[in-house]
Amino acid sequence: MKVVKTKSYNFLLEMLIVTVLFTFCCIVFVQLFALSSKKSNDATIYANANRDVQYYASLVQTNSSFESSITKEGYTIEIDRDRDDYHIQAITDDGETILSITVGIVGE
Amino acid sequence: MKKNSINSGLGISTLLMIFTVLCLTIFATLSYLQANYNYNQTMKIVESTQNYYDADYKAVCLYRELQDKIDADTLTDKWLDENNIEQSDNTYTYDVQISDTLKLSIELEVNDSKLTIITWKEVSIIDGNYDYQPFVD
Repeated sequence: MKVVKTKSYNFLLEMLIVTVLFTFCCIVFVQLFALSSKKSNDATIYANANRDVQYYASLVQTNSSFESSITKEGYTIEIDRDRDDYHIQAITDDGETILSITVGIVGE
Repeated sequence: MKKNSINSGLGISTLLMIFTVLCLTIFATLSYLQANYNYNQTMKIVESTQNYYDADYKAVCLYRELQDKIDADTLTDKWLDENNIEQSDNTYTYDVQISDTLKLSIELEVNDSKLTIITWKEVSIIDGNYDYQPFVD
């Protein structure tokens, strides 16, 4: 009778340890994977926005009278003209400004 | 005696489970560290782009001001000194700082009261090797 009690105690103890550890580690690694996925996605958006802003900056410098709003995956590029200056902004879908630059045209 | 003693309660399946879950947590941590590193590197690139175009716009504003002063014939040595513009014959040179290690170097030439860009380039401020260590005299 005592042996049966000890066995069920051991079984319950094992189940408890496994359940607690599994739950804790599951939460930790799911959170970490979710965070790393978000960071990686943000980094991709920022890198693409950076490349596009530089591209449009060189475009307005060589080919003036360019004014537009370009929607890309995860961000939007907005180009506004103010006389000889072009204001180029990259804004995420959440409304966060990634880059905001002003390009001045010289020699006109 | 032996049968009545309480053991640790850990079987081989439990140990395997712990090992698997710990491995997953380690992989997730490594994945997060890598993603965080990439994110920080991207932010540095974005920041350097921002700094470059800020400096470029400052240089453009100075160029326009200089052109206006030449057109209006109101260019003075005091104004040139205030804006750190060096003049030699018909050439004007000035620098705009981009970051701690870079600057935008501009050289302009005047021909018939019209400014022409000779040089408009990014140059390094520091003299040193690729490890950012200054050269020793």
